Amino acid sequence: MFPRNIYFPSSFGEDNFNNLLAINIVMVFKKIKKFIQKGIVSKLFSKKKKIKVGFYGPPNAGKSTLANRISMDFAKEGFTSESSIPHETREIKIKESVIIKKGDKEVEIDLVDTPGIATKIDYEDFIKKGLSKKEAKERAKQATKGVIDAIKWLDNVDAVVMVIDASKDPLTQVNVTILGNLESRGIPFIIAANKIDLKNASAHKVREVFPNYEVVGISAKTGKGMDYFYEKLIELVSK
Amino acid sequence: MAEINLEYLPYEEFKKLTPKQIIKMIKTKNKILIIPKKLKPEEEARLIEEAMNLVDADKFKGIEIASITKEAEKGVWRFLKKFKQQDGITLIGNAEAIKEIKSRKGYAILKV
Repeated sequence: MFPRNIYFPSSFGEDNFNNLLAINIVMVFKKIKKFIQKGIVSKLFSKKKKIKVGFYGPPNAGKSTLANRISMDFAKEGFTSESSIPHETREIKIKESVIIKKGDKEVEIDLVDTPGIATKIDYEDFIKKGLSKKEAKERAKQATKGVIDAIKWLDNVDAVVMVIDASKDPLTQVNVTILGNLESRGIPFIIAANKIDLKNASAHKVREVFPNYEVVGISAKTGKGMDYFYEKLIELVSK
Repeated sequence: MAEINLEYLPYEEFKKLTPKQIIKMIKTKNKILIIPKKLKPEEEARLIEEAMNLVDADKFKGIEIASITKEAEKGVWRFLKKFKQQDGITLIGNAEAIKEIKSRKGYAILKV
């Protein structure tokens, strides 16, 4: 739990050394601030550690399908609705105390399904999916609130599964913004490159775009890649 | 043919404005703001939040935002860059005016 990645290069000039020292001091303070904000100190003394895992990503990446699959696999019931219409999830849905087991490892987590994050919401897109104008406007209104809630909930999650549709271009501003926020807030995360059952999907492409992050190729729909995903999920929440 | 106005907004000016003021700048006109810095992730998130607050079915559908940066630094320098503002520029536009922005390392493609 102590701050890692402290660098002290040996062959630098005095100015560079001072700069690095200053940066490292800032980093340590940021970590301490995070510890206090997230209540990790108090968690250390609590008997049972409950970890909230948020499912984040753009609309229609398969967040709810993945959250439901995990819930079905380990709690034998789904908890959030799925649809091909974007912004089906418009409020935070939580499934508490799901015990994930893999080999001799076991973790207890709360699954937090979040609305898809977008920079724009056009009610006419919902009309194209078959909703009436009134329904479309209402859905758009709820979807905007959902995006705001999802961003605010970044303060409440302990770890994140970032769900990216591997059949689409992964280098989008929404993906970059979410990942940037996870990094800057110090929230541990893995990327689930979802929908690898689709012909044009490529987890490799997602890895190429985000080479510094853990990317696991899965199909939440068919279950492909889920065994390895669970290993990585347990690793993630055990950090 | 629709007009698009490009407006240069120095980062120092950007910092003085609230997210609401910034979104209002692009909400009222077909404007693209050009900020000569890559915004911090939390600044981008605040702008998205505020844009969602101001979405109004027939009048404002949201924003398009993109950052253009040079090739990412590697190793220790990439790590250290997290702690300072990165070089680059940020484009923020009304989603009504810009259909899509694709940002790549060193350039961006705007669909208007």
